[in-house]
Amino acid sequence: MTIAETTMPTATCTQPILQVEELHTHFAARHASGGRRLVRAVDGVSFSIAPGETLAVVGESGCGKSTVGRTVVRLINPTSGRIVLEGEDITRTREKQLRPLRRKMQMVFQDPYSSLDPHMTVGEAIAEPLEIHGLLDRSRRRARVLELLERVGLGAQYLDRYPHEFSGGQRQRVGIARALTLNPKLIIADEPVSALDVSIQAQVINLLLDLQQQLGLAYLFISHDLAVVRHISDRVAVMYLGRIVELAATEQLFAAPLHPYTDALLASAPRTSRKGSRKPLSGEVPDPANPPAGCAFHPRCRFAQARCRAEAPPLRDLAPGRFAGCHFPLTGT
Amino acid sequence: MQASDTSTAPRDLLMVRDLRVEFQSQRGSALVVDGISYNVRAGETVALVGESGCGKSVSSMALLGLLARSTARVSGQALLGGAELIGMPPRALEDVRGRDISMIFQEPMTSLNPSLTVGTQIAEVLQRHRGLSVRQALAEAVGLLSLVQIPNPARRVFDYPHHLSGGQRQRVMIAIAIACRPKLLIADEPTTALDVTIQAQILDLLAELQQRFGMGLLLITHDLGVVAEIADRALVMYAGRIVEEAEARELFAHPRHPYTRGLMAARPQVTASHRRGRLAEIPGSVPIRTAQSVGCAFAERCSYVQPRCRAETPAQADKGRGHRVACWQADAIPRLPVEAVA
Repeated sequence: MTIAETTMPTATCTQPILQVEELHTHFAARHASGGRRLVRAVDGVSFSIAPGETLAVVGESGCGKSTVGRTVVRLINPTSGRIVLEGEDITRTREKQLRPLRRKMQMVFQDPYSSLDPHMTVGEAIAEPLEIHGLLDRSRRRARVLELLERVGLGAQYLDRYPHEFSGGQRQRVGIARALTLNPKLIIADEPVSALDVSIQAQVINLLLDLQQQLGLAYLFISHDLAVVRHISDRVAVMYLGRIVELAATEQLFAAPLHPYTDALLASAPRTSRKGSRKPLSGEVPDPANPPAGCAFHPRCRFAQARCRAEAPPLRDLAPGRFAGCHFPLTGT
Repeated sequence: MQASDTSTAPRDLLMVRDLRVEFQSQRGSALVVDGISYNVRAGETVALVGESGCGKSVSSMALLGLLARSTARVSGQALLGGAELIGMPPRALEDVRGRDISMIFQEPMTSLNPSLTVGTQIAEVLQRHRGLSVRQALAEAVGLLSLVQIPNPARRVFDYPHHLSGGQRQRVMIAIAIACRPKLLIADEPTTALDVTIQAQILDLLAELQQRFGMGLLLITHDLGVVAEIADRALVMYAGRIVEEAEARELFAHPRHPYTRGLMAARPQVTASHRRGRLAEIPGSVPIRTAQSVGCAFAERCSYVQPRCRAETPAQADKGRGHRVACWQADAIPRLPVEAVA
């Protein structure tokens, strides 16, 4: 069984809502010295998401997690690989034909302020996708917008207000309402709660959980925050320098990480109760345009050996539903 | 009221008393800092923790005279080693900043000059406050870069800020901040913009430098996890007031204020046993306070609210061992850790 074929153990017989196989997204980056270099922002990533499931993609800045999200919704064109949405290959679908597909998947961004037009009322912003797709007449559109506002915990009184009149948490609710307008089955959420205060973050996480239950949504939840991920996701994919280094059910991954990088990420996360001392990971993420040979993590890895410097470890099936790309995975003891 | 009756121990480095900051605008006035009092001792890390708009950053900028005099009205006392900072003439304050108190911010790129090498920027502080020559100052800049654990410091002094990663830029800011061995370092969300692995490195570096030089460290943060990692004492702020103060360990073991408890319960944790599902919410949002506001600012969001809470602003009460709480209902709230009641 390949990784792309696996989903939640309970959902293996249903067709995945999204299937991503060997996805590559490369960019030509200009170097300070003037030369052009290739950045493999996404370098062979495979996963799938079952209907109603949440897969989190977690990692530090520059690991490629956001590029994965943007490539999947085709805001960026992939270099190679396959993106399959409900059985339909959309990897090379042309812009015009993408429109009906966008009804099935929508994106929610970190800062809704930058994705909302400041001159549009919230009502207009939420209705816009309906206009673009020529759906519903005027009065039905209004009813739909009111229903959506209600669903995200904002009342009808917000209909004619402008984005600047909203707090960060309220704007994210508007961003979510807009994403829901066309009844998508999959939401790609890129750091949706990262800019919010803790008490507001909890409100938005709860809203996402409620909406998932009510509407059967699947989420591709992109985040740098392990604690949030632990709370919201069924499965977690950990990315480092363009690749998935570990993929597992949330509970398993947090209980006993197999990849030393996952282990280090967990150890670095600040926590209010700590047993024993924290051993911070040394060094920084290498330049993605000039990744280390062999395993990209080896310069920072406590367990690195000669083989790690020479040979890139493939993502391997180490236990049912558990994958890690490491020559010497942790035993989980 | 407040903590003004607390006696000053000889090691108290900074003593803040009844600090108030009111902002005036065309739309009216807002009381952003509403009479806060606290001490920071030499070698101690005190965290000022709270959510956006609670006044934590504004209160520390007021100490350093960094607020525009035209819009911000600052009153109260702030004694640093006996010198009163509030109302100090700008010239004198310039001598204090960078020499006796330094401050680092969340985004080092906005504090660093993009057109000067990092060496020059560190050297400037040494020339300004210690009268070193350019050559001496640059030589010392190399030493400071090595102190903040930047590899190849002799080469990196010639780098411009854009050559450095976010973590390295924050290290450079720390080098500038400690160049004159200040008595007090104010760190305003120093790791918020950084990745977790880099955040852990910077927190360790701050703790190490503090121990080495015996500085007081005033850490301003929204993140209770960061407080738990490095603070000795924590002051929880809400709507301009300190609502709870305790030793960090005591605070996490026995949070007493409903707001503190709410924050702890709302915070997703990597250590909690895996419970996918709803988090505890604090309903509503933070109110805007004016000089005329009465009652507890948290009353509208509090599940323990009683009529008295809306009528009278709660004073801080000492609950023993330096644990102070500003809540009329503090004794009615279960004293269990948050996880046990969640």
